[in-house]
Amino acid sequence: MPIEINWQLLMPELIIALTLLIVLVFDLFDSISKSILGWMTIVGSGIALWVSIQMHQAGTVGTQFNDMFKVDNFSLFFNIIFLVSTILVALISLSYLGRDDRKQGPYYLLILLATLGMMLMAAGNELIIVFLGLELMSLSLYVLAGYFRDSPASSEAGMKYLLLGAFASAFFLYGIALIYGGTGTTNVPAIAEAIIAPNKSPLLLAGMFLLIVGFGFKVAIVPFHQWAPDVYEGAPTTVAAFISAGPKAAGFAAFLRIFMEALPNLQVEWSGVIIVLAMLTMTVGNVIAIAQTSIKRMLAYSSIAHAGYILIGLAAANNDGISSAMLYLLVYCVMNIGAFGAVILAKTEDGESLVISDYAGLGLRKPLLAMFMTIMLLSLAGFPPTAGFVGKFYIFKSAVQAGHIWLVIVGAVNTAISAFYYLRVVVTMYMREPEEELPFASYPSTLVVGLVLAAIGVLLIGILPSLMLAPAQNSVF
Amino acid sequence: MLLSIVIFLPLLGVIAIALLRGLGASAIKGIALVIGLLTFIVSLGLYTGFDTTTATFQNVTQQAWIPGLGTSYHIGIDGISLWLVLLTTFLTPVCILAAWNSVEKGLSGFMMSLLALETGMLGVFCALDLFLFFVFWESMLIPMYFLIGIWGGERRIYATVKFVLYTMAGSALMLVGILALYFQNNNSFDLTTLSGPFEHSHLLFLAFFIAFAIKVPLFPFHTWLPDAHVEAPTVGSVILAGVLLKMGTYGIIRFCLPLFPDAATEFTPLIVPLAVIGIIYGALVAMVQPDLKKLVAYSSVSHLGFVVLGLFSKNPAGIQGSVLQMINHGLSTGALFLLVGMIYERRHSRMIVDFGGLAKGMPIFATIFMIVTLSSIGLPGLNGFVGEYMILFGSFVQGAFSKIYVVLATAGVILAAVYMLWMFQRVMFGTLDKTNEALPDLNAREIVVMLPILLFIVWIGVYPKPFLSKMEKSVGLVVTQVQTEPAVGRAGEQILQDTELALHGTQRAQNEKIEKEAETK
Repeated sequence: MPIEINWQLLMPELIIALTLLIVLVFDLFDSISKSILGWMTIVGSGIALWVSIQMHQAGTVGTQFNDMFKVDNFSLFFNIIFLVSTILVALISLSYLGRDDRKQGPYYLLILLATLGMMLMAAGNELIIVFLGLELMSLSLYVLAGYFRDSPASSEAGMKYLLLGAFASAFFLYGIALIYGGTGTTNVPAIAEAIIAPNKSPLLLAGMFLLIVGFGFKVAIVPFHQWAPDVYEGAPTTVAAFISAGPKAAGFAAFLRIFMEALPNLQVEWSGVIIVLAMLTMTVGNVIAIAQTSIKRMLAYSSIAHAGYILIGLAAANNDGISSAMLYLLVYCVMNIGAFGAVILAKTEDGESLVISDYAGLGLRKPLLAMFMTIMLLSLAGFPPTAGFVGKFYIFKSAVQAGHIWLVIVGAVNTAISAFYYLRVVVTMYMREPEEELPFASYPSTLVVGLVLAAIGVLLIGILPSLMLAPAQNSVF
Repeated sequence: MLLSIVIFLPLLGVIAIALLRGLGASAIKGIALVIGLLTFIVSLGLYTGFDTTTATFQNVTQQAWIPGLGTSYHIGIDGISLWLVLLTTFLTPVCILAAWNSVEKGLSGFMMSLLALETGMLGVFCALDLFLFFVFWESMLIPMYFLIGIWGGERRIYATVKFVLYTMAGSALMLVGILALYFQNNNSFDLTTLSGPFEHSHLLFLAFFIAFAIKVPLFPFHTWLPDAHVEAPTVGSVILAGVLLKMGTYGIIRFCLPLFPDAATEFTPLIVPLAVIGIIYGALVAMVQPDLKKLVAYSSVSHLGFVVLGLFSKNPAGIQGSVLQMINHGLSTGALFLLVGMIYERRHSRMIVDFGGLAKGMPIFATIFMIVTLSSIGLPGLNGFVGEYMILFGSFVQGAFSKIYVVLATAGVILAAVYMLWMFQRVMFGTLDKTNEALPDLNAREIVVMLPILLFIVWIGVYPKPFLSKMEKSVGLVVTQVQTEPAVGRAGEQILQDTELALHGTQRAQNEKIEKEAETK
């Protein structure tokens, strides 16, 4: 049977694949400046972003490859999240990688490969496709985490991430196998049809729990979160920003799609588990973040806590829950990359300053940098009028609608706890005097552009949320 | 439209200062003062255009904002919020002028924080949409956090973090309450369409009340207040005492009482003792403070106890007295903090033992201090008396709780006289020692700062009618909403009329009495 391919449906993925090939080819020529590769990545992702937005607005729906690959507003909205993250990460990477030409080519290649993997995950209408996307993404990330070969911390991060990530993939694959055993199919809608109320075999439930474990690793949910702080701390800061953003969103994309579309009939079984995991994740992430002295570790625990907030949306399991999780992921990616970008910006001449106390007095000495950092941290803490507030509010609202009042109370109390450590950085920047004057380096212009974009995004979505809220509400499957 | 201008004009000032900060200190101060005064002048339009014959919201603007969340930009004022808006717009330029020479570092940031804070506070008083209210309620935290944390005293970081965390802990619960109300209000955050009875009204009441009680602060939630006050810069203390605390009492009168009357009635026996404990405890602790600023801070706990007592008396006189007392406290405590700030700038000490005999060297300062002290005590003829009297009168005559509480609260009035006058005596009289001899008296700018406040202190004390008449209808509506029991078998309109009649009666009797007493004193 010949396969009819609708190329138009695959446009964003094809554009990324093409960009990837161009980057690969251009990297072969020694005569050209390699910094152009970063710009190619940005332009390619930009075009793919524009195409995705057009397709989203047109409400394009369709499946490809024997129903394995599904393009709908859900996957297109996630494409927007991934591509925005990729563009921002590429922008903050341009100056970070320095002038070393050998480093540039593979870096952008891996970023693009990971992005392609994420897009496959969001569009996967078949557990195997989701797994393929997951592996494409994860393998690229393992290499990226260990990208600075000369740095022991980076190598350690890469190795740790590889070992734990491989375990998680194995769990995930085993879960798929058991679900196949229980239903006889790996197609998402077909699984939902195969699970009829009384037929809840233990096999199926075991498969479901293994999927939760697998996703739990990938998006860093407590108690599967231990890799995150070490990897974030050791990996190059731009890579940490990347890992914390896009891949988390991709994990949640598949998480939402599989649990809401393939396993809705098991909701009674999984919703309790998700609620407990959400509460645990938020609380553990926030409480441990308080004790951190390194800004990268603090952001790692904060990103764990944020996975907990997003889980609330899944626990709510209604339309608002899904769209609020999507909106929050978008907001979270922008503000988290922005926060990591500000960390990169706070570079001294001898290297990055990663201890929070180094930031003392930054408010007066580097007002622009301090302002960026403050906007991002306030948004992460969920203060109005930033995007973080709207996102959190919408998630809580969906959970109240679903009747999970206690979950919302835990979430709201966690917001207050999180304010403590986010504000501590602001306190250090504006309210403490520096013990010694650290020689801060000057601002690289591309990094500032990236941060300005992130700050505009955070404030714009905060003040006029309808810009992104309506598209998110429009994207539920 | 007018109201939107009042709310966002200060924000325009923030942007203007951010853009023009390069022009130097005097330009920054000039912009801030002009914007502050302009906001006040524009807000006077709200006063002159206010219709006293209706209890409905006025100057209403409603615009779709986030349809996907069911919220709109909905603002308006009634006779209660009108006064708090005016208090805010009045105190802000006063504060800008008071801070003229006292900010050493980051002047532009200071003025920007102050103006941003004004927008936040005005928004809280005008929001008629729960989501909008919460946005303003939370966003006002950030400028206050910077004001205390950057320009504060030695333990400023501890104080500012404590302030933010206390407020956030309270607002976390309020957020849940707001969301729960949303689903009982046909999926809308609009305050004007909210009408009870609500499911789980007890829990909802508590969710709101605890957030407000922390802000007021009601005993035992008050521990953040002395820290914040003592560490805040003078202007921060003035705004904190003058306006920020009123956000708590305003919340009670706007949300807790009218939305959850049953729960309010049931919790009255619990809340009123706490208010009375706050009155007595605040006064007793104020008495033994060696630090002037701390003394004033604890006196706030005591004064706000009166306001809460009056609110839960649930009758027109008591609630009107409470609203008036909110303004009074804003004026007199704000003035006290300004005066303490002025003496601190000269002597770099706030310890009572360091002073004595100041009246000899600084007669103008001493005179103004005396008037403000007496106003704070509640001397007839000055503003404090009218408010306290109405609260006690309302609580005693028609209060929804035992009279013994009112008797105890009255003891707070006496204690206030004890701690304030004792403090005044130790600071102003006695021997003037060497170090204090050289302290200069108030300069022209400082007198200009104090004079408008004194004007209102005397005005409200002598002739409170214009203030009371504007809030009469709105308070009457709150009273009818909170007294729901007799509603069986009677049309709502009838109750409204009855209450208005009763209100007029009490009102007239009181006004006559107050005027008579003011004359005799």
